[in-house]
Amino acid sequence: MDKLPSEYRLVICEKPDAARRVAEALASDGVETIMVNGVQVLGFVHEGHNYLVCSAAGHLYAISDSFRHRETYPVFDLEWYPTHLIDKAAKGIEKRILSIEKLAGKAESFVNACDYDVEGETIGYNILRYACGGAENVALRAKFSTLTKEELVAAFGEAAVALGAGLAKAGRTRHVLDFVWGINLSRALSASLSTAYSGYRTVSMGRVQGPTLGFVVQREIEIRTFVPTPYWAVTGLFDKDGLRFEAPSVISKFAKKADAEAMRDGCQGKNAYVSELSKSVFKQQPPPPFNLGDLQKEAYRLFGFTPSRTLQIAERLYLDALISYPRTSSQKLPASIKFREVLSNIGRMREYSLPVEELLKEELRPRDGEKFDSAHPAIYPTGELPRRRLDSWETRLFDLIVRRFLVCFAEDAVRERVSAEIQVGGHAFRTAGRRTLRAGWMRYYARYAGIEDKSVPSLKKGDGLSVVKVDCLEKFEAAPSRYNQSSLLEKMERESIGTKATRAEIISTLIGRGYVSGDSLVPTDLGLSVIETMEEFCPQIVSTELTRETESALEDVENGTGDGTELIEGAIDLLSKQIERLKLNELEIGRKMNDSAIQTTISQSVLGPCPVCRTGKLRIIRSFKTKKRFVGCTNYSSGCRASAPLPQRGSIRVATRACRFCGWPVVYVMTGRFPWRLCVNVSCPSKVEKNHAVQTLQKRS
Amino acid sequence: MQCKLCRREAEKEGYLCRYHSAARDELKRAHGAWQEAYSGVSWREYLNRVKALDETGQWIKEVISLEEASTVDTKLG
Repeated sequence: MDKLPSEYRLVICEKPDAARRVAEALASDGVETIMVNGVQVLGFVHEGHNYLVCSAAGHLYAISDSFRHRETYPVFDLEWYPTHLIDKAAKGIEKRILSIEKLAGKAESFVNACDYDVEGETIGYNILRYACGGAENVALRAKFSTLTKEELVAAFGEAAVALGAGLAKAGRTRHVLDFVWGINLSRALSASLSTAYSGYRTVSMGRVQGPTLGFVVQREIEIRTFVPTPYWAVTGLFDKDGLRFEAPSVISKFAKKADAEAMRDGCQGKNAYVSELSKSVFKQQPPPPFNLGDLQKEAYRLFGFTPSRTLQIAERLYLDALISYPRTSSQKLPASIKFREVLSNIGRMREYSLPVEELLKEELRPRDGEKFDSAHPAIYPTGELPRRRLDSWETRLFDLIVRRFLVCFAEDAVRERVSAEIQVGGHAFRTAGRRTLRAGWMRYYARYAGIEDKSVPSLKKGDGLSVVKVDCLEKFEAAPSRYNQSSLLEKMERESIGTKATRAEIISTLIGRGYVSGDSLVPTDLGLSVIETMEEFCPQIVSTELTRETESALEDVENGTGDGTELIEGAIDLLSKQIERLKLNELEIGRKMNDSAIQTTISQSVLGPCPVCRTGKLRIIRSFKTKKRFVGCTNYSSGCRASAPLPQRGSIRVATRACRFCGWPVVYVMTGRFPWRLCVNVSCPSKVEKNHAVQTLQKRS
Repeated sequence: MQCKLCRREAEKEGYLCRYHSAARDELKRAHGAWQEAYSGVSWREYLNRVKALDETGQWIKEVISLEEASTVDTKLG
């Protein structure tokens, strides 16, 4: 196929990798690559028809206001524009659009094969509407959850018109709402800040970003105003035939010291005996299959992957056809998935052969969770073998997904709970333990389940025990924990704000904007100040209720029961009033945020204490002369000459711990997929050793 | 007027910002719980002990420092 065929069907995919998968799956006689306007297009024949597959690279069209007045607000006159006209960094988009336009002109029909969700549908819809001359209502929709050959062939066979109309409508409405919200509030806040702030700082606020930042700020206020209140715990140490064991009082917390001491004193010199002994056997079910949120939380707990990183890795595994579509809320595995076939294929991988062999002996009925997603099933491995060597992160996530899938078919674990109540002078203590009688599903998930047995001494009702001692310990209530990326994601899920696809990105934005920092998310002065300002001048904007209501209304649009236009009009009406208030108070808001903006800018540049003068701080400085960044001490004017060069490319994030060799700060430099860990000290002993080793090797060679 | 403990604006008819003011209120409220727990604890001893605890909030510690710096013993209490 050197040139374009005279008749063909044009397939729109979301990403080039997906386009390649689709072409390879459907082609009956090989795939040919054709260059159209400098963009790769894949051609093949399927069931006697010519097909050409082109792909987007993310959104080719985006919402924007008129370009001439970037500083003005409020703006409500919005249009969809080709992305390259809005974002200068979006290189190659123009060529891609021109190539699709050229192909669309001669296409006999269209197939939308973008990811079947709100974002995918929006991408496909916009391309069909703007680049394919209004083909959005006549194009066929191929719906699939995995990129396996079998499913793709079936999806193209069953492709139908207007399959995802609700999704597209909801997606476009969401884009308009987010834009209208974000652009107006961000411009209002930035304009306010520029009235008082001498430097440049982007201050942004989004529809979901506001309430999410509000959660972190609210928690921080609770932590910083926390007064620990005392309580007492009474614990007895008992002896049974030379075996000593501890048992806490059945009253776990005594609010008054006198009460706790009275119990302790009341036990002195008294005999102890086992007053009650209970044993119960219970079944522990396997956890349900993964949806995206559960996968993100589990990967954070087990491997420390941030939610956005987990999503990135999962998407790569999906594009390699190793797992099903990861952006799903479902915890259900429908019977349409050929479980026996999938499991048999998984069994071809050596590490899973034994569990698969055991599982295939039984009837395969998966244990589902409660959550359901009409678009996609829960995340499951397709059974395809990796065609390339997976990196360590992909390997770990893939193993987690496979094992979680396996346990859905495994039998329940059987465990025993033992509890003994001990009476001492009218006071009760209790010891309890658990042990596994039959491991069941835990055999396949042991390394991830984190379930441990706790033994109790062998006791019988009426057994006499000696009291070795009874302690009364003073303790204090703990402050609430800060959110981490995983628990914040969970909070967003619980409060029904954001979507499964956008939550991780919103958290990353909060970090990127300098509103929160650290692994345990601490709001910066600027983050606190932004929420403080919003709560004072337009509390509705950062309220969880409003965001939740909007999400619910968007779901109605998706299901075809709601009206997107009405929703947008309502939002514009509300925003106009709130923006007016912000505008009237521009100067006051700017003054309030000014100090926090300065403090945040300074604190973001600080890497840590200076190990040379020990009183100053090392911070990132940009040279006025060369415009290059380097590390310098804040005590430079007092004579400290500690300095170090820095890589000039990539973003820099300071590590929580200083270098163990020299005590200088360690930074992570992000230039590509993986962060690069670097001690900023050029004379660090670790580097000297490494350089010496390299030199020795060079001499030898 | 500026808060005596940070750069934020002080609340009307007060000398602390909304956060430090909330911390001061919480400190006063929790004194009641401490008194009940220990069957009486003086304001001064309470402050000393709360300040020494790792779990105590940053703004609470700052309010205590201000209280300690003050010559009037019963300023907050």
